[in-house]
Amino acid sequence: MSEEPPAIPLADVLRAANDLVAAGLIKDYALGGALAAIYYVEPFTTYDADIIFIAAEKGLTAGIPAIYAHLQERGWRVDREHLLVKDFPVQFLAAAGLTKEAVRKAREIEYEGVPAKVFRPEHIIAIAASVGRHKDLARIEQLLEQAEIDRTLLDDILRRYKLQLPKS
Amino acid sequence: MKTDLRRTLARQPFEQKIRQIGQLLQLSAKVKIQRASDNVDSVARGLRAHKTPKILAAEPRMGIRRNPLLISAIRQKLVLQFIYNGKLRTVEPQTYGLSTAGQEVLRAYERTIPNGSKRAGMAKLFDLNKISSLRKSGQSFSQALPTHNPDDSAMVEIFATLPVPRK
Repeated sequence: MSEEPPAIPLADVLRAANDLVAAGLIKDYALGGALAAIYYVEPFTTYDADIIFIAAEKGLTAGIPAIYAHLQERGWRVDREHLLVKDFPVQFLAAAGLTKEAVRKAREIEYEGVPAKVFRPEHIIAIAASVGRHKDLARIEQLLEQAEIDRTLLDDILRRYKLQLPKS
Repeated sequence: MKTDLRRTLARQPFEQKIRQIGQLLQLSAKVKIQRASDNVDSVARGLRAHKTPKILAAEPRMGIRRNPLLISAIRQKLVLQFIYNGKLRTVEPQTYGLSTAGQEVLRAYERTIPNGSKRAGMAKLFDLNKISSLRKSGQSFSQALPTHNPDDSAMVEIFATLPVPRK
């Protein structure tokens, strides 16, 4: 086994997510979590990627077993709640409510030639406010300081989901 | 780090940022392997509040220079005062370490009542770059906040932290 972790194989992750859409296993997806925040702020260490998807299936499992099977056939490995691509952990999380809106309204980007979507900063802030862990509060502060935020959109999201930004 | 520089870093192309994080992860793994081979991982674990005198003495030799006032205040549960964003703060330090953005940070509960007779709210994260006039207030406190997490998720390395409070 290699002693060094690989660089983050994000293009592979996004390619796989596009493949899941093409295969009809998910309807849509966007990059969320820390990597989505990093799209807008200074780089910081993170150890996994979060792919938030809109399920094609309405059942309780949100089609996750089929997603896992599809990716495992393509060489991905399973390690507890993560799927590993080139030893890099990726989590596939079914969207609901605010995260579903975040996927639908996500920004279209291209990463190393791979078309993809990434959460808008306003949705990242609202999701962080809804979770409220220390690292989420730090993320809000970072985004407000470093990213271009559409305050009207942010206020609208916060109002609709009855959320509040932490007081500094 | 100055805000302007952080904004400049934020404006880098996404691909470049991801490459930088990949390099950081590789570097971090190399350091861990080196530490293990030198049998100093015990020192890394010891960079918490309960360090032995031997570990404390080893730190300067290893190039580790942290704020001794913060470390001693956490170890002895001493209340601190400092100026932050133009305001005098009276705080109970909980954890001191390195943030995910690579900054030295202090997690501390800011007293709303000067004598600390009533606690309300959560501990805040203070950037050491913005702290000035740091000093001991002369008061002490009994234990960490009930919500205290010694493995603060906002930090990648912890230099000193309080023990989990008694129930």
